Amino acid sequence: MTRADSHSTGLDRAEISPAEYRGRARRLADEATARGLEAVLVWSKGGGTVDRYADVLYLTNHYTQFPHIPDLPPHWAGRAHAACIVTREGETILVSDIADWRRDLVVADRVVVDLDLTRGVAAVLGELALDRTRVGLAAAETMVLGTWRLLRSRLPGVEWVPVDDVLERMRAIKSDAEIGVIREAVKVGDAIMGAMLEACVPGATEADVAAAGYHAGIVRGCAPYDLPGASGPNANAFSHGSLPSWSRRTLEPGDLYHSDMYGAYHGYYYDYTRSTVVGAEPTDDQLRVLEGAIGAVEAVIDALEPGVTFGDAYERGAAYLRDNGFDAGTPDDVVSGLGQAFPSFGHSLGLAWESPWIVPGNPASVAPNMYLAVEAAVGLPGVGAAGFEQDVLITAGGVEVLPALTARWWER
Amino acid sequence: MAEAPFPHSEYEERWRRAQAAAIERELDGLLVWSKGGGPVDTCADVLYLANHVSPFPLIADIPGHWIGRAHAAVVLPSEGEPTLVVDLPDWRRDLVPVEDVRFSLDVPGEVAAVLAERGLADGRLGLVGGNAMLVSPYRHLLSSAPAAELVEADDLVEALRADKSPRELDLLRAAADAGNAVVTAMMETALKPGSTEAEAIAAGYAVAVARGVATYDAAVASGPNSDFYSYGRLPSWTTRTLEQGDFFHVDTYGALDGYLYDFARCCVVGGRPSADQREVLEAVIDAVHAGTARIRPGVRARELYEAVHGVLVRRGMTGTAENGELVSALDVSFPAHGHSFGLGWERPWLVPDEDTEVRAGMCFGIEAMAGRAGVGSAKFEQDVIVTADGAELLTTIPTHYW
Repeated sequence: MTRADSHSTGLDRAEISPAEYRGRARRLADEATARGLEAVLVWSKGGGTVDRYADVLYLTNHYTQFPHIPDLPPHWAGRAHAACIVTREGETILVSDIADWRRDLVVADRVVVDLDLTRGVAAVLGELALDRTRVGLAAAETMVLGTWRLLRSRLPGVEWVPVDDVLERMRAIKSDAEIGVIREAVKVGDAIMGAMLEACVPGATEADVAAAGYHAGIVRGCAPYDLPGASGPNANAFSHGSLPSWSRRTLEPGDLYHSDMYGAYHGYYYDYTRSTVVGAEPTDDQLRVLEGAIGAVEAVIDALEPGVTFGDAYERGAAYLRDNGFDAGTPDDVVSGLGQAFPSFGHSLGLAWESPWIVPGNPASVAPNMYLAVEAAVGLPGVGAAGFEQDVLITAGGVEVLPALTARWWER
Repeated sequence: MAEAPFPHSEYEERWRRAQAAAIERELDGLLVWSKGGGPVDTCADVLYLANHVSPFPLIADIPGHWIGRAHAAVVLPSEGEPTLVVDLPDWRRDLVPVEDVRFSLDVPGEVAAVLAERGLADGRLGLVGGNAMLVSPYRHLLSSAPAAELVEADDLVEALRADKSPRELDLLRAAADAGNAVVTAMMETALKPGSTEAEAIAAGYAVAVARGVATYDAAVASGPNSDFYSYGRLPSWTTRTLEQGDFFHVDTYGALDGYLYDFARCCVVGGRPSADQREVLEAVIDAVHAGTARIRPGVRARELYEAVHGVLVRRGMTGTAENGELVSALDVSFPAHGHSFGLGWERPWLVPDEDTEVRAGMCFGIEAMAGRAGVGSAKFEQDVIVTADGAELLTTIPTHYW
């Protein structure tokens, strides 16, 4: 886990030691044993995209960058995914779809390469005499239906018990080593969003702004995920672009502009939003929207301290919007697309977006060493919508806001 | 995309062809499921039928709040118009050709309601989307529509997609044009000693994003790591500094108006390969050229595989050394020499047992990766359209960077 020189190859972080990975597997094994399970099968995706890789990476530091191609039996099936089997003893067996998995990065007791991933899993479980037992399965949000069909047909004697919650709960509390990487990830986020806002000038296109962000992130070693944004007459939308999530619209003076931004640095997410007005002072109405988004987020952040429930934090944001006259509109009259599409003020994050979510009634409590994204989008009819989001760490004493980038770019 | 890429009549034609295929399989209709959320990888089938991709990211299901985010579904009865179910209110009214669009944060729940409304609640439905639909929304679909008989039909829309219309071929040409500019920018940077792999990719992505491309990935390896398909992990490139004499190869893919470009180039940094390196570079380039030269309607997909593979075998460069040790990763990881593509990667694949005959109007990526122990590996890929008498090359940038 050491690097030969100073360059980054993505997941080469010596800070997170092999012992930390093994400790995670051990905890998962203990939890599985307590639930009467003989083993756990953990399933994740890679494929060059930045979604759904968390659990296998968390246990083994493995990511497959081979792209997601449809199954073609008997040649391959389950490509771009990876499986990790954890036994009651805490032994980890990684099943990889690529021959060139990184020997210097992966932490596992054994690695099996099979281009048909469920075939590899069935072979390992058979060999361990676990193919007629109760096995935990962490795959609900990562395994596709075609793979699920294959898995059940190849292992008809296994009783699969969902355990997605176990890893998500473990992942929600970050270690000191993880927090070190997270701080660096948010700094890269600052560089990306800073470059985007610098590029956000009259005459530039939304795509030019996105390109500036991509460049700033890529040269620093990040894996970009997406930059969904909108501007001017389309500012009510979360993203007006559709594949990609930005358009080639030319920005005009006085346009409201907003963009969310997410990606991974050494596996860990940065995820925050900024809004501004292009090349002009905001009007009073625009300022009301811009400050409204910031105010809602700050109201939620003010509520975050160890012991507070996520449901309570949600109510603080909802009260702010109510008290300040913001309304998400209706599907036929969209005022703020995100306000309707995402009835939440944020979530935990780390190797993924993960629970707990800041949604109504969530009884989960805020705890030290959580890493959260707090977000809001608000709009006014005829004005447009603005979004705002901060990444925060929960400490023993309260909250540390991580982005160094100003909330009010228009004041610069 | 800035505007709907096809006239309404082309979507109607797709619906009719899909309905005919459904009737042939004795289905009452189709339920087509795709994923968006930013990545380009599993959006093809709904995009083909409804020109919709959700930009909302994939987040875990929280019943009571949302289920099936980043997904979208098309319900297409064997007769009649389709219904599109989307997960966000700000779907693009100007791009979607479907009249009946429903927004719900519970995508499988809304699909079940549509099935009931359209008399399909206990119907026999072809379920398309086995490589896109996740287990969690599938479970919710089963519980929301318990009487529906869901028959696996993953290949049904994919088969329709393999034959491109003239307008689709134009879009593939435009995508390749963007890809040509993207890879040119990457190679110009990579040829200069002192650049990093990341700077080469950043140069290419700057071109891609400004042109409206949705980038997918760029798998890169260089120098002592060139036997890897890509050495970087999240991202698929590193910040390694390229040195004079290093092998560098990149396989990059992205979508313009939904349609992919997908090609690979390789070089030696500084542009002066050694004799050994040149042998490797020429082997992969000549192998792919042998494949493209073989293309014409009627040739079987496996014959294209054989044409490419034959060159590598004759030159003793199959990717695995004589002692059995792996040299080039893809020799094991990807035992194929290409594939059809359009809105996604699709059948037919160029593998040794694929008997499908190539047809005019199909589009292929033809590729090879090979190397020599102690020398390193190279990767090369060309995009082509099958014409009445051969192949139209879409990848028009240089092949030899020395």
